[in-house]
Amino acid sequence: MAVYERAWRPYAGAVTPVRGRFLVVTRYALAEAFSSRLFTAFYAACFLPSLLGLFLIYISHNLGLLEQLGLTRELMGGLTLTFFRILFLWQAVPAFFLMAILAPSLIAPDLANSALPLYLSRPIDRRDYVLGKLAVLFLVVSPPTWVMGLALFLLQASEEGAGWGLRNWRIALAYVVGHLVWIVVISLLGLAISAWVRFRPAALGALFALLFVLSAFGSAINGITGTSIGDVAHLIRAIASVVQHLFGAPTSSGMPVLVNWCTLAAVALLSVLVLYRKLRAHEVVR
Amino acid sequence: MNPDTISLRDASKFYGEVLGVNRITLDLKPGLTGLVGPNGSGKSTLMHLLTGLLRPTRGEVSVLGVPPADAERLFRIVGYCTQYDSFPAGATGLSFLRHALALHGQAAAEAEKRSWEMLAAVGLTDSARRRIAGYSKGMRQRIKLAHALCHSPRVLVLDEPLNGLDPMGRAEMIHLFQELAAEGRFVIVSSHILHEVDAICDAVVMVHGGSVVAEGQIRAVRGEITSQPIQVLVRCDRPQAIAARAFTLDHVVEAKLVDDGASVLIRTRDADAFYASLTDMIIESGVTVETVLPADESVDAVYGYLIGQPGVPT
Repeated sequence: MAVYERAWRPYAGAVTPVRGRFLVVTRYALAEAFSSRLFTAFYAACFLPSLLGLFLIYISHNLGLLEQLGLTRELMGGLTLTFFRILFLWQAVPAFFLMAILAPSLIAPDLANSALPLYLSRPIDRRDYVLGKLAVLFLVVSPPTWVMGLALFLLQASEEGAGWGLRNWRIALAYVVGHLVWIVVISLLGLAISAWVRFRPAALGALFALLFVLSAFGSAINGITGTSIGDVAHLIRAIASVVQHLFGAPTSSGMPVLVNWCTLAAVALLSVLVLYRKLRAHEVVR
Repeated sequence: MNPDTISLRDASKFYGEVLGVNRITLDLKPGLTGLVGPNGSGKSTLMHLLTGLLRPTRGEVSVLGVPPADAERLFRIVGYCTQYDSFPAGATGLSFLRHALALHGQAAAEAEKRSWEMLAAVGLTDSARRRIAGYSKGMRQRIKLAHALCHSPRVLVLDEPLNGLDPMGRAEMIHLFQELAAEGRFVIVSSHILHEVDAICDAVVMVHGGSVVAEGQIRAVRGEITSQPIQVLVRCDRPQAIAARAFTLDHVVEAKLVDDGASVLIRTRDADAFYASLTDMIIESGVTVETVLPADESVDAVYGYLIGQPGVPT
């Protein structure tokens, strides 16, 4: 019989708090994402709409420059709801492409390489893993969307003086809540699809296809029934209507906003369920 | 549950209607334990149960008193090496280990230092900054082992860790396993290569059809198989003389001269009685004995007796 001394010593140093451990997944995924120059260049381009908005806000409050350009304060004075709604759209479209590119690259390679057991045989669980990957999308997409939007709103409010910000509080609400809803829904959908198909290019294609198929399906139902019932499945219209409602503008959906919220919640919930089913440390082949 | 052993109590795992493992009760102690069985026998399921990657459908699992559901506590004491060549895309050897240590909560400087130590331990210092995708099979096995070991776990669960290693690499790894076991760790190694398990392990767990068919030290397991006579090989200058005398003993069922002309293989139902008589036989016949070896106290032979598949299962 072998005799073993207990010479083994565990690691006795300090450790980081467990609650924030998912950020390790985020940190490494971020580094991997920005190792691509093409992605980094596209990311920089996503700030252009916001920078253009910044320029317009600046110029509209610089009377000297307006005079030199031969413009009037009235011409540039229309930086109100419409300006911010258009800017929102210009931010949201590149943000969608950003998420569509990034989300499939976060999970699909890990699953394709059977790397999930490596994560899950560490002190993190599936929830931390998904949270870590979601945090990547949140951290990447937030700056060119709601962070810049809120900054522009605050700049405009400070330039216009007291009262403007309070009168137009819905703009700030729409930027923060609207973009966050956009980020959460598309991120979860992108992660779920990539967990399902496990192949990055296919996941990217499937994300686009699903959005278009759902929208086309919704429109077809509307056309056949002559009602707006198909808007329940129309994901793009649901998001648009929610954002329009947040801005206090008329919505493009024929369904009440609550139904649009329910559509988005259902898509998010289904995505979470798919992630729960597909992200397993161990796959059983029957 | 005992905080000094790895315990499974009536643990079963079913994948729907498919059986993974069935009603396994085990107590593993420190040292090198070999987990052997053919493909689909339930070895990997058993390892996944021990590492919390699977939850038992029924029964209980405890690793040094820690339930596998408690990932934070469990993975402080458990290191797992998967049999798959699975790595995060784009990882280098160094980043792979740093990442693992960061997930364990180690600060960046500490993780960096420990990563280099582990890379040195498995002989991959020169390849630390190369992408793992470019590593050879043997290098990938070694980085996986470093990954399992880097946080200094007391329990190491290694799924087919010797696959793909060249003879030199195997010898180095086996030496490392023995060193780790000698420190009082639990080193659980699964393998198809029975003679290797036989050579390195203190105890074995034999799995077949999702059930444990035997466990313990191989000699003790062999002693329990009373239906099969024990084989003893006697190498001497006059094997015929030993064979003739062996035939006079009631418990000897066969004495076979080996083709080399210098050995006789005795099959007996009572090994202790045979060993007791052997001294007398040697003295009375005046032969010069070179070696006396148990011929079937090996994992290979025991496995064959228990499962009915002599030879190495693959």
